Amino acid sequence: MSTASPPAQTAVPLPTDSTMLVDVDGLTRSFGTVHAVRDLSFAIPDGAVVGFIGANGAGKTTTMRIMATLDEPTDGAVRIAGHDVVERPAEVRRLVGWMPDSLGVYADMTVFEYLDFFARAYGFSPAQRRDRVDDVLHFADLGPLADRQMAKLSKGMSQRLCFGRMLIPDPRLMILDEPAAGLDPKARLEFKNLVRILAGRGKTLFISSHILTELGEMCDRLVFIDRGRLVFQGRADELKHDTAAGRVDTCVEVVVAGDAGALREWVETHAGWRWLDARPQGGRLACPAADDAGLAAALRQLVAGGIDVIEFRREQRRLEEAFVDMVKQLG
Amino acid sequence: MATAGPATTPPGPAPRWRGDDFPAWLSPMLVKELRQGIQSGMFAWTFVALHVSLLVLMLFWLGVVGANPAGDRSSGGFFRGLFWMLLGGALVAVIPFRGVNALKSEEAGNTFDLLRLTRLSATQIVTGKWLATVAQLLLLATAVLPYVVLQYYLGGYAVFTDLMSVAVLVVAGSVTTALAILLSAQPQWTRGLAVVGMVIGGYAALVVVFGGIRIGGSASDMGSLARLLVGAAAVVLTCLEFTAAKIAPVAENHALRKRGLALACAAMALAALAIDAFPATGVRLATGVDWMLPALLGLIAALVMMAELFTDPVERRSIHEPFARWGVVGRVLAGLLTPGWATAVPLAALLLLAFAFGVPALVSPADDYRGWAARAGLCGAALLFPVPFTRLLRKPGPRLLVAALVSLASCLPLAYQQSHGPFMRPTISAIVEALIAILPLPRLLSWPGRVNPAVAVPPMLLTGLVWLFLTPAWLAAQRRTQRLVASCRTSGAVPRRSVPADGAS
Repeated sequence: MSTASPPAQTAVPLPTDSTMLVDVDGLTRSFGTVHAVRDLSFAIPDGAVVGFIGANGAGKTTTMRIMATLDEPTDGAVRIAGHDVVERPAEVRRLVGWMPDSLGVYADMTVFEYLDFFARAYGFSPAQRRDRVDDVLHFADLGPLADRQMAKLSKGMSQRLCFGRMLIPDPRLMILDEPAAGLDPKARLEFKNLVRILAGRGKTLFISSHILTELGEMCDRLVFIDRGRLVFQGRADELKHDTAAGRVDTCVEVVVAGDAGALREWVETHAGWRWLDARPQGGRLACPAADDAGLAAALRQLVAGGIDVIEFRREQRRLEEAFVDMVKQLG
Repeated sequence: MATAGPATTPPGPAPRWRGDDFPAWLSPMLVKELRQGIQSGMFAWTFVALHVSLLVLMLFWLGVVGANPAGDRSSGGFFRGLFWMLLGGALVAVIPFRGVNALKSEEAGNTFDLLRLTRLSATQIVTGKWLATVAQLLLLATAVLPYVVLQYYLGGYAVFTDLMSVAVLVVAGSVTTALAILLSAQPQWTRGLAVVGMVIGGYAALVVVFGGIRIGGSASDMGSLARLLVGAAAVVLTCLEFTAAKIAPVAENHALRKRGLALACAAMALAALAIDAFPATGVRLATGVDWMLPALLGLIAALVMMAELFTDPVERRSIHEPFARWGVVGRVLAGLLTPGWATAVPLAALLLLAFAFGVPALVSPADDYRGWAARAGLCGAALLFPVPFTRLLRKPGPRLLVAALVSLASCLPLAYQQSHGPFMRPTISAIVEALIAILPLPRLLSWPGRVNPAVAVPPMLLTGLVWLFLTPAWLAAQRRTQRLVASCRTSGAVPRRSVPADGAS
């Protein structure tokens, strides 16, 4: 994409601390007696792609809306590039692009008219507008749909259009709420590619999604919340190995000769071992091993315990499991 | 989707863009709304239905005139009435009432948040929507002008008056549109009630204004039209500003604009009275004052200040910083023009004094100045009396309702007296009399003509006493405002208090 941007973009002073673009500090948002977000704190480095994960009703959308200046916290603060979202909403809005989970479209407009309107609304001059809308149409592969009415767009096309609209002001921070929801596998792959391209251009992306595996692949960092509270922030591999949460479990798949019941019984009576789920002739276990040596020791312990192990394979923990596990442990 | 690097503009058969195109100079909201509005079925059907109706009407009219060429044109009145009813319905009701969904439709389409994040201010969004509807009104009015001229050939006698009537309808439609847009920012139940109220009140207002303009002599027409335009502009600006304030970020100081509007309305009301009272001859007239415009402007100023007295303070650096740049003057202005009831109090008092002394000085008969001043003071007391009770509520939403209930409740003794008359027991009668004597609204409603103006003193004292309870809170709020301005001057961090749980923007 070209670098055409609204004139006022340059008027926003850059943060003094360029390492952290977003600083969420003790954020709390309550609706009456319901606490949607409670004392949430995390930071997003400039240029990072961060995944925001939580179950339905965990407070993801509320947090994102506050970051986008569309809501106000009950307590705490959010600063984007040093600007407080409550004190300086106008400055923050010049830095932020927002893609909500609900598609905001004007059914009676064409794709071109829609993007053209937003380019006008973002203050592009006629000449800049032309370049910008064409760039977005091309980047989001919307060129062939330019004259199509929005009412006649499929879910995937509308999603792409909303993504394109978000790109119009060339925002420095892009906040995407469930952007891949309802997309087919091909569209998801394309979306992932777009995220990679934008990340390569130094943009900061904050993406919420339920598809945790994809987030793990796309994102440099992950932020997990549950019932409005932070439960994890760090790299995806840290979560998979679970070291960040203070535990040193490793997931293994074990196949035994004979009855798997003996294996389960053995696991349940030994501290540090956990039964995850059953497999044909065995099961998936969490064992107390942080590295290769620990894993070898665990295997020896199993064999010494009288278990006829015929297969012992280390498994990468899936993000979903790590998340569910973490939430379970928090009660 | 593209995965390549920088995009290039794909070649097209014809240039889609023209940098110098006219819409590029217009507000994006106006262009979007006008495009959507004109393409909508509602506008198209109204346009077609109006033309078909007027065409049929004209054909019948022609038939009647043709059948009776001798000159008996008594039936012209019926056709003329029908003509203006159809035109009025389209221009004042059908097209403007689309504004009731102006903001709700954006919310329903999930586009409202997207609009708020653009560089468009809340005022630009609201004004764009209003202008687009007014443009549609103008389009419709222009399209029916041939029928207006045709009336002349069917027995009409004043083309200029008829053209001015169309202009009045467009102005009335513009006001209705602004009211409808204001409603679109209100909760569903409020909108339902208000729409019914607007239909009834709007029709009554239209009959009064429209009748006055059409029936009035030609010499006074331009003056009436000017007054109508000033009044309409005040209503429109107030409605649009209240709508914009509703959707704007809390960090924007809309109290400044609202109070500015109230001050302007008050000044214009007094100026209109002065123009009437002291015409070009310089001779003061005791009679012949046209109260309609000053009363409307005064009412707007009073309503705006009442609404401001129900608001909570907003502590935002972006609001207080501009005042910090102006030193002592800025601090004084911050105490009057930043959001919150505490800063609205001194401004409301100033306006009240201006009206209490200004109106009697301009229009009262020379021998009844004190009586007029007392009545003006009682009006102020009646407005201010319920306000302290509303501060008992934490949420600002129901404060207006509470104020109305307190005012209504204060009228109960008067209602009791009216219903029971001389059949009350002496004790009860004395209590009721005493209550009427000290409560502002009953005293004002039962003002018995020329009496000793001192009877206005007890209600004013009671109002002052009720307000005395608010004094500590008022002082604390004013001190906090001054501290905030001072902290902005020293570039210190503005201490932020936690907002209530439902204090959304």
